[in-house]
Amino acid sequence: MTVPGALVIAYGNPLREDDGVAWAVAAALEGRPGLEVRTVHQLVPELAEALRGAATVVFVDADRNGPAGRVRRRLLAGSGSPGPLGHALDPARLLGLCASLYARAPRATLVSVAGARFGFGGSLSRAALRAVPAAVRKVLEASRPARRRPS
Amino acid sequence: MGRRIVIDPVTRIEGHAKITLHLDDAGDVAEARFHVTELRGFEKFCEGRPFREMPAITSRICGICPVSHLLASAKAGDMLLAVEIPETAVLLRRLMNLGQIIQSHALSFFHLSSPDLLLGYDADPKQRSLLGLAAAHPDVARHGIRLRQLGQQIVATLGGRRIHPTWAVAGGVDEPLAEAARVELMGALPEGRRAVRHTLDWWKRGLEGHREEAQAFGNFPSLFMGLVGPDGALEHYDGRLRFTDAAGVVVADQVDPARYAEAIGEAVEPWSYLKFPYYKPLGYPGGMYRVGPLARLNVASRCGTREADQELAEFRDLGRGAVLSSFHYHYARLIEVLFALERAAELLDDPRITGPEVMAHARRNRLEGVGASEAPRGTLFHHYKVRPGGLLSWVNLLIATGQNNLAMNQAILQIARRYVRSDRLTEGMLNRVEAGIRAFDPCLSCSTHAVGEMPLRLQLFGADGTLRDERVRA
Repeated sequence: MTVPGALVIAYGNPLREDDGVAWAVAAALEGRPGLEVRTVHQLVPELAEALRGAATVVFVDADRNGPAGRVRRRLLAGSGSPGPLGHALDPARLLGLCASLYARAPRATLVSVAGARFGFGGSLSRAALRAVPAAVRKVLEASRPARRRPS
Repeated sequence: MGRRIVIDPVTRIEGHAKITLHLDDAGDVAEARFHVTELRGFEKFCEGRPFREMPAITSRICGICPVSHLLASAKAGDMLLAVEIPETAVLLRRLMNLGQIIQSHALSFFHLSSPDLLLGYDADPKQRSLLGLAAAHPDVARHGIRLRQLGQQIVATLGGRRIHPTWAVAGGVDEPLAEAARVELMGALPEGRRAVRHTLDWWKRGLEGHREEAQAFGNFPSLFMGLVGPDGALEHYDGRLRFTDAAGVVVADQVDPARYAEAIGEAVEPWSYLKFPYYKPLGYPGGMYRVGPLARLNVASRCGTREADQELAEFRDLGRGAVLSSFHYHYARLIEVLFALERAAELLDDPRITGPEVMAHARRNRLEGVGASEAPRGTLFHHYKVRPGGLLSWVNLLIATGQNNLAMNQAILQIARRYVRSDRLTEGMLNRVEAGIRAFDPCLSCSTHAVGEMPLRLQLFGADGTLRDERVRA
């Protein structure tokens, strides 16, 4: 399957308060042209197939560290380290899996939002909620096609 | 002085367990135990709930086989309503069960067991995962991912989500299948067929190389049990129980699943939370029987689809009478995936599958109901008793993994006696013991634990209880 624009994978548990902030970011991105937005609880190996067809992927996740509400964006590289496989992968290992399986991996960025609370509950903290628009902006920036190098 | 080896936790299975090996004075394995160390308590806390809630509640037992619980529970509900559900609902439930079997078998074979089978039991544990497999054998890993995704697609198309769909209910299913969705599913099947075809051929070519494991990994006589159709054909959703012995002789046939308790007893041991079901006429523990893919292929007269029947004929050459080695659960799983894909195509080709009538409406008409279906790991029973108002007064869940409990303990003992010596503890030997368990694909009903992230701890205890040696797998 080919993703025409960018693939956004928002992951986390919306029943663990700010761990679900990525779902709020995904909801705010819904309907934006050129984006395919997916929400998942965790990164599983099957997502490698979706990555295969994308030129650009943006992962959105909550961050347990840092001042609550801080939004960060960083480029990701695939990890070739196999290591033990639990029920979930991190983005780098998912990219590495994609590269192993299909000999290619998309340009990837992680947008993270530092949370304040990670207990049981379906609502976000005020800090996480306020950070959603900034996270959306960073996702959109990261989703723009890479500039072609001059030939 | 006797000693004890503990493998805790057992990795790459669903849930938590540990294995203890008890050594005699000569350092040989005298006894082996597979301990299930978690208590779920569903049977108890479901008491008092309305029976119509049970499909949704019990599907939460597991993130790998939620569909199995969903269907067995809905079928128990059908019996409490005393209804015959619409034929379209039957076809759709069958289809979802096949999707579940495809995705679960793919998980077991490719994600959990293939790293051992392809990279070797003595390989670095860090390499023995799907990620290591993808680096070394990307074609095999790709097939696994494709098949698992296809099974999940079937489940999600019908039930709205890949995990924990709440679509089957007492009396039928919640929504019919749209024509566009039917066409899309149909279009996805051929790639799955090619993936499993390729894997089966590859597996058969390499089977000779696994001769040692086939001889030692749970290779012993036992009974086998599974659902079969009226003509004895492989059955996953409905049908009746058949028991066969090690020689392949049918010892009980067409047993109504609602009367399972007349054929199956449930023993308990103080060292495990998992029950020990046994075939009652032979008593405990002599009535050990196995369930799941190996058992289903042993008890069925035929599969009922063209390619799977061809594969079954070859599979049967592995044994005289029944195929006895638990190692061949892997092979049986692949044949069942092929069967599921063939059968799914037949179901999707049936014009009745997009019929609009998917619910039979009724109030409670019985006070007791039993639902049974074949989960990926074996026959699953949900047995409910309700009060006149429909609230549950008693629940019994007889799960597939429990029914393999006696056999799993026997398999560990056999493997440990062959590979484990107290004077030479190696990772590879201990992983073979784990792999013996993994062949059964036990699901300890725990969807929330990150299995692979925990270390494997091995401890040697003296007879006086003091720790003599310890190995930790990071």
